[in-house]
Amino acid sequence: MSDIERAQQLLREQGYERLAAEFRDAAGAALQAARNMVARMPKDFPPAEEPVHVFRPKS
Amino acid sequence: MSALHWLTATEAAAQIRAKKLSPVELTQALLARIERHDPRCNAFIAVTAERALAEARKAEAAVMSGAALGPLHGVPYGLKDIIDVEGLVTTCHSRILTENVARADAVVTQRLVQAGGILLGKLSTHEFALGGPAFDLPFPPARNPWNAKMGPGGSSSGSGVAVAAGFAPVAIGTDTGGSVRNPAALCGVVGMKATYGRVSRRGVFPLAFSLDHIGPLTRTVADNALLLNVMAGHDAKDPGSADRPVADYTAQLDAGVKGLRIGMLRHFYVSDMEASAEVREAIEATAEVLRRLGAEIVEIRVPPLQDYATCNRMILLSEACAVHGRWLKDRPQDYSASTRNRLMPGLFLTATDYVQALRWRERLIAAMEQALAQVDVAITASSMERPYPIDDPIQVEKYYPRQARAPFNLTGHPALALPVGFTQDKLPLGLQIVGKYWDEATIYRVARAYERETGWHEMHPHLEG
Repeated sequence: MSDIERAQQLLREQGYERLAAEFRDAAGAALQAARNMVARMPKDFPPAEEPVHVFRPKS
Repeated sequence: MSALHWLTATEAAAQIRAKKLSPVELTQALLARIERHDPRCNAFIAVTAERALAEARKAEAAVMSGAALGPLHGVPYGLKDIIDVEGLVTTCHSRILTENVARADAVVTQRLVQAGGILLGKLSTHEFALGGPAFDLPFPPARNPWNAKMGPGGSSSGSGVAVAAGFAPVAIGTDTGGSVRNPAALCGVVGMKATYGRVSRRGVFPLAFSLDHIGPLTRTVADNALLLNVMAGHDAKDPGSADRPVADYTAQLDAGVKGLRIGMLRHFYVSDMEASAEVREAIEATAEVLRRLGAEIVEIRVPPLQDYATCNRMILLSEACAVHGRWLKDRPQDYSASTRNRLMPGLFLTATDYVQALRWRERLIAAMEQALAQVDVAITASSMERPYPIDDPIQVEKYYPRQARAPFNLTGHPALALPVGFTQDKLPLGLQIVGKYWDEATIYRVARAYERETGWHEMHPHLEG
């Protein structure tokens, strides 16, 4: 399956039918861009390492 | 006396208070300049002339009656068109929101109104503060007043243009990956992204909740500090707003830099990404001025620029797709191609990717904190390149990722874009001064010392040609 086909499949699964149909080349490029970002991320996070998050108790 | 359109906010407010300048006369002069020159610059999406004149007449009556006056009494300003003003359309420069009438003022609008400011209109932006300069939208992109063939940066493009062109002494922009500091650098004005949580975001259309900042663009450092005084403060209804005391950012402006320790984040623009020679030379010349004024210059290091940029992008796109998901499903054709193409990678990031990026963010913040703990402020590049030809889509796409602003949206540290000279063909160059959390005052102090020494802020574009 090509990147474009894979991107179209992923978009359809999420309900983005029109994006998948009308902007297929851009979708293929976007899938590759997302993969590149994920590839740069560290892979060594210990299971208990807590991220920054926005939840703060109000009182 | 300066031409009215080159008065700073500080000068205008003082003259109005002293009854030497009429707010009506000032507003009329700026409206006339906008009418004459904005067709070439496209800074404004909407000019609110009648409203501005009505506000100016009220401001004049208040002066004459001896009423208490706010710090911006009678001073005109512009707002990026993602910031709400009750009764006006907030278009976000998009076809999608051309009928989006705001029901209330944004908090930042309220603060400017309370301070006595006079709204001149809503300013051009990249669509939803994300896309690039686009020609497939209902409004044209803003153009650089120093050379209309060049881009002014973005996304707060109209804000940078309006201030540089003398349409308004001050304007407000927003900054999620550098969108105040980019147009500030390319238009030759001062732009501040204060610490995350310092300025309320309520009533401003979101791009990415955990990265969004609101900030002032001005022609001088003193005006910028004055504006941040007005804008800063806690808002209990903004979940990101910080309940911390607000300093008087104008108090230490002229304290100089003698004895301050200034860190150079050189690897961002020398090895991680190679800035153009003219940008590198301008940064080194700035460091030399500050050294001569008594600062100690040292080198500091953090993880590579690309780590900060990538982590910022992953979080930005994940959060932005949560904002735009419905429209991306129902009316994707109504976005500019540029905005749509920039948003789409976010649809391929998973929930796990987002959480891992948040974990990564924690590490990158810790490294930045450690580096900034060694110094009073740091200096680094803003854009790696000079302003780009706006009609050349290849140059535009090359320009935008080549920047060092996104790290400070990711970490939330305050960062200021400061003009530091010009290219040989008279296009502005800028850099960033970065501070510790909540210490915008020291950034302003360093910026003011440099500005006073060099006088770049006294140079203005000629629109008459």
